[in-house]
Amino acid sequence: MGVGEVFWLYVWLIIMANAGMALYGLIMRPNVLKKIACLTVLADTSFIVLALIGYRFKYPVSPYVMTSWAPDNATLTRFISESVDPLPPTLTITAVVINLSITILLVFLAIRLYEVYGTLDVKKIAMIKKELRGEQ
Amino acid sequence: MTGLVAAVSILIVLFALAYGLVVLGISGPPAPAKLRLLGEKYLYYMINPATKYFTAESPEGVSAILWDYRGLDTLYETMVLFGAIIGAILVYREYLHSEPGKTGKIYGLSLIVRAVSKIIIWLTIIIAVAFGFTGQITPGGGFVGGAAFAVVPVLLALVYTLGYARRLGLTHRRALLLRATFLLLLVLVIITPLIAGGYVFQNQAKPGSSFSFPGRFIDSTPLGGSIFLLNLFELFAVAGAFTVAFILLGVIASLKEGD
Repeated sequence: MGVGEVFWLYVWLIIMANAGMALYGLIMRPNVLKKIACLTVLADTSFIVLALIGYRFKYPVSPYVMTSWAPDNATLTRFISESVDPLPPTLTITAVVINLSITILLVFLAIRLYEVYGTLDVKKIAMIKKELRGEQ
Repeated sequence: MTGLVAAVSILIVLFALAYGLVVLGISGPPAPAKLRLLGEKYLYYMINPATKYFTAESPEGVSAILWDYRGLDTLYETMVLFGAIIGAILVYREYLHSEPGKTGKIYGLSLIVRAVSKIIIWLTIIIAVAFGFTGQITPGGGFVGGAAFAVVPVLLALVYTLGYARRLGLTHRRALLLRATFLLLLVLVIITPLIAGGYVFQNQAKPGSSFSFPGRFIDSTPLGGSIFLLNLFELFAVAGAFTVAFILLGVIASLKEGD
């Protein structure tokens, strides 16, 4: 096993540990706010995965700076030979915005939940609902 | 027991995911030495005067993909963002008509914090607007700029209190108006080529339609055609949308304090 392979194993282990903790919190933590926090951690982990997919291993590299606003074929070929894939960062931006909007909506719903039930604990909310059903 | 079951199932899912990504190579080999063909094509065409039907006139690959090659994707993403904000407002629409913060403390945090914040607020505005204006040549763009811009109302509310921000004229109605105006302008930019006889979301000339937004500034700096306009309008639309959400959160918090 070379140094490179150990490095990649390390990176993927950390990513998986992150995703695992986020998933565990999402499923097992009863507090809604903690669930939302875990959801954002999970989303951020997926952004790192996206960035890694776009990563390109080339060493040594001197990033090429295009100085011409009207590049010819040779310039573009040189540029492409030393650039990273632009598609994963684009998808990451899209995912960040969607994640942000989902988080905003969830936070507002969580505040409403707290107003209605006086708690953010889903187990307690389930108990309150059961009691209310029993009274009727 | 439930915790153990959950932990084991999560481990199985993650193992399968890692196996698929690293060993099976679902997303291609991890960290390849060569660029993928799709990424290569985007980089080749984004600013290439030789291929006038494919160029986006923007040396910033991410902006070119976001607002030109995959423009409809970004349009729907914008819709999701504004849908979520509208949903959040609908949950709390009754609070929008209340007038909090008038009786509370006006002066906010200490003099030092307020003096420093004055500088930071102006710097933030300048940086955010610069992100929007130069999105077609440097990393940044509408979303990033808008998100940075939305820090300003938060700072104002935190440092000077929400009542002060309101006295400055920062109300949710104005923020909603900002959002709606710039969304309309955004849609206008998108359908302008259609009115001119081209296609929806057209940026530069395509076969069958010679319409194209100005690709270059007067000194031949790339303008990215519609990318420049879309970035700029997106900046203010996103800033407005986030401001509404933050004002609403602030109003809810101050009303809760008042209880």
